[in-house]
Amino acid sequence: MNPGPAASRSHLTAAFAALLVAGVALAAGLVWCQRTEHRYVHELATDFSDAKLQGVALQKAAFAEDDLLLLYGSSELVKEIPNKASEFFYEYPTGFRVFAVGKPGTTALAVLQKLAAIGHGLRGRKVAISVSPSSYFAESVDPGYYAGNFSDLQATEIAFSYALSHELKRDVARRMLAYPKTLEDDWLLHFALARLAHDSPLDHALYTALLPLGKLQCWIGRAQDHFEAAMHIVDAQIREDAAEHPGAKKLNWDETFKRAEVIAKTMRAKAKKSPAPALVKRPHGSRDKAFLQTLAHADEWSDCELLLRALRELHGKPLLLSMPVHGPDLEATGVSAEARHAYLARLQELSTKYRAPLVYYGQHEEDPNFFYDNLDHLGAKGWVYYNQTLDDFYHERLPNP
Amino acid sequence: MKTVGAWLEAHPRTRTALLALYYLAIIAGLIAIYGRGDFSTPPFVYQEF
Repeated sequence: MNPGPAASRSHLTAAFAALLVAGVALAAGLVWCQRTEHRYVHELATDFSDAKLQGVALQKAAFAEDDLLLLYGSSELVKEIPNKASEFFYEYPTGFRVFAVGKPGTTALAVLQKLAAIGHGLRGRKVAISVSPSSYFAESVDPGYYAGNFSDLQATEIAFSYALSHELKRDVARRMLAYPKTLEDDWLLHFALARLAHDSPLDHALYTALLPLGKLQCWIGRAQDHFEAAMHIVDAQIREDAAEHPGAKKLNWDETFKRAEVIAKTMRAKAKKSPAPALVKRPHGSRDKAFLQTLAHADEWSDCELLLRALRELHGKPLLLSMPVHGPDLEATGVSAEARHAYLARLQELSTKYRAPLVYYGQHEEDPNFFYDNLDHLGAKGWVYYNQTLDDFYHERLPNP
Repeated sequence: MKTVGAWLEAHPRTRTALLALYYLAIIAGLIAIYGRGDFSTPPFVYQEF
């Protein structure tokens, strides 16, 4: 028996009413999520959850706050070391907090995806990027590290971005396709990246045809991201910092450096009780050729250049902070100071080309107290140098490049 | 059942409202099942973490 027109109309009216109620509830939920993000984002400066690192909403919310300085980096951000920037600036000693984004194995391609996903939210905003030299001492990025930092949402945002040029998206897509395992579960992203990378007129047409679907996926992903971010804030019982902060004042850096030196020495003495594996010693300069060859072909250079290109297109204001290379370790394993200098020379080249200020702590290449270990992890002293630079960067005291 | 059906036929507004609630429950169920994003990354081995 077919339902009569009155019954059909009743179903249609009910379906429409249900969709309307669901739509209004969703919109109200999104507004609540965004308000929650903006209200509590300051308290997430030292948080390293997936919602913060793999999502976009919380990083975007942080970029919108004038008293947060975003610092992207790798495992050094996560290690429990005294004077770590996110903790050093937690009480706003000079008027801002450092919002750290990164975890072990975060290389330039991962940072690029996180920042490109912010899109126009980066315009005119300062962003500090911590560079680990050892990432440039291997020809390719470990696929496990890349996968461990990969975010489907961030990758989709970059693949279907209107804010980036087609040429940049093409070059980024070629690099992202080098890690096919990360794209296995998302045919749309994989197909779009392949079209961008192949770059023929047919690929262009197919990519353009896919854009609406890609944008829809981005929209759904963003909505999920807002709910994830708000749920994380609720689940983690993040509380608003009600304390009054004294506001901007000048730090006594001399005193801070002195205290850091003492802490670093104590930490080193403790670390000596469980020494690192012994290095294979080689004659002076005997590994220069191999070192320079690997350095010249490291994928990290092209990824770093892509990152700087993206920042230029998005009108961000980057600062590169590079840790010094581990001079004594490299010297002992047959890499001379002349060969080691090639790292800095190339980084300076990129910094000049993209007008991104670079701070390299070269005078500490042989300073054991600068590092916590020999794996590009800053120690209590190294962090104070970073912090001073970040403070100068935030307060615009760094000289123009 | 016949009585409920007949009663609903006699009260079209209530019927539409109940249908709307039924559809709303379906939408809520779909969102609950498929709406959650997955932001986790695969586990990876890192030398010093």
